[in-house]
Amino acid sequence: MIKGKHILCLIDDDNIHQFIIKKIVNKLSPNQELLVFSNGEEGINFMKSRIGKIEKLPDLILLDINMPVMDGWEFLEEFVTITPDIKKEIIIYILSSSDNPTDKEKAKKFDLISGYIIKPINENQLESLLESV
Amino acid sequence: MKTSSVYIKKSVLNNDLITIINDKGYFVESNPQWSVLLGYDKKELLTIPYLTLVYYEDRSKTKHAIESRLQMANPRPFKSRMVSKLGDVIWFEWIITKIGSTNEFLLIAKDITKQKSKKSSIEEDLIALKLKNRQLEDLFNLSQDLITISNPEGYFTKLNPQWSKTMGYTEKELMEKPYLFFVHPDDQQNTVAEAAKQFDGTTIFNFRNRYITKKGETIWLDWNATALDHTGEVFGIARNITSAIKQEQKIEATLQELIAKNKQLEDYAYITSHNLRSPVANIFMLTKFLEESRLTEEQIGYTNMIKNSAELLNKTMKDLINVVQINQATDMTIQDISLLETCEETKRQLSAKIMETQAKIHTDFKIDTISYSYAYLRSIFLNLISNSLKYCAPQRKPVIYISSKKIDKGVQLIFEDNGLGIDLKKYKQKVFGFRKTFHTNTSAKGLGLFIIKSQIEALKGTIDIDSEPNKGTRFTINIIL
Repeated sequence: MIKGKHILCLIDDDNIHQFIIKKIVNKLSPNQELLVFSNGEEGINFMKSRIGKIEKLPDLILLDINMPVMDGWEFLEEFVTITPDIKKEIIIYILSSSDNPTDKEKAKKFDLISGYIIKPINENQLESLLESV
Repeated sequence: MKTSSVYIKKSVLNNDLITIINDKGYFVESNPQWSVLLGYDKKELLTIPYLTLVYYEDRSKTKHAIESRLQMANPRPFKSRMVSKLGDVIWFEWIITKIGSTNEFLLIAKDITKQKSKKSSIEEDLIALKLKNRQLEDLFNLSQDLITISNPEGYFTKLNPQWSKTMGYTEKELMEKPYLFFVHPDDQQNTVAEAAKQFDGTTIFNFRNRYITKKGETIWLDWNATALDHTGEVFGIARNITSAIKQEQKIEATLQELIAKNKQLEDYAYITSHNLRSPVANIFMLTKFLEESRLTEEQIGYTNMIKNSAELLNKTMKDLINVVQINQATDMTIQDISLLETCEETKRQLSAKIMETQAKIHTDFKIDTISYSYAYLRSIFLNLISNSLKYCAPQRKPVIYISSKKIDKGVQLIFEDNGLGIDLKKYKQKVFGFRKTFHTNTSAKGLGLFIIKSQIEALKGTIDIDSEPNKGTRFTINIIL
């Protein structure tokens, strides 16, 4: 079963989607820690502030693409530059409603992306993601 | 008058035409030679004005000559032509003598046709040459093309009138300045380079440059030019192709606009799908939560309806995106493909459904290999065969005939089944429409026919449908090769 000690992270500007993910995660594992950021900048700032504190960094990031301020791609570009300092294997999934092949192709170019999930994500998918961590 | 008549009668044997013309211009008396040379009898001659006997080109000249000579003391003979009754044109030398104080006169006309034709060959050559010259001049003056001779110093030395007409400058203005002055600044370098070639004796074909008219308008000229010889003079003929170029530019602009519009539409489809999908995905999940919460029966009903609506919306968007992607990404490479092999592959792909419906598929490909897009051909087979399987009549096993034959410009492909059919009276306009379905079949998406029609038409072919409800459907596809 799911253990609460992993940290899950959601970067998505859609409040309702945030709520949905929170709700599913809570249902799957009531004690699961879930960090939520509303855009790439908030997310990357958090990551930068936790460099060197492996236990405070998320294990799994669910990343939206279209976001204000800093979108998913920009977040990834920034994230690549800090990976050497992070010293932790963080799994990143794109979780977007974009079915645009251009986006899917682009996602393939980032080695650190483990997969591309098109919204809505259902309970089973999320459960297996959490288990894979 | 009497003496004159006597004179004429005496001259019966004279070879000349002799007559008296009255002040009204009619014959009063004439010798028989008129009938010999011109073929009119005496009676006829009395009823027509003498001028009508004169060759039409010479008439006014003759009239004039006679009138002036009637005023002169010693009129000189003149030459003029007459036409015989049979239409022969004969040269005469006319001698006019005024009779008394009236405007009557004695006319003696000597046949000089022989004399005329005896003219020296030099004179004849000269006339021929003049004629030729005139023809050339006409050609030069009347040509719609721009004809010019230019000298090695870069000036026009001869221009046909079309130049002034086209450029708006007078001939003098055009010759005053080096012709480069009239060439579009961006084309001057090319023009100099091209002109330099001519000194090597190269003939220039289809050189294109722009000139600026007096009004400042740009015109396009298509040049053929040849250097004359050692003099360095260049003969050039240019055609004004401005309107053709403008047309071309217009088409190119329209094309660019269309490409941009198309791209815009594609982007629009993606954006719409993305922006719509997010809230739809949310509605999905939220209704799921709703279902899991405690609800009254009425609320459960509403929840279900919301869920169904969201599902439908989601599917519509997916289909929309599919269409855009199919038209976009499909491999359109044309290659040689076997119809039979394509059919077999499709059958393998649909084997489960074929088994389930116990369908029989017969093929008769009189033409088997065609040059076509593999992806499109697969799409045609897959969509039409699966349609036949999907819409088979419940009371009979589906039978599908697929055949091909040669037609005028390509190959005709026919898919025929014994299925449910479509009521074409009702649906003819919609059969190939986007998301049009005609059966209460839940798996019908109304995409297949829409997609293959657009694919077939993309390759300049046509697809047609014949159908009768409960008998079957026949699709006729004309593939242009």
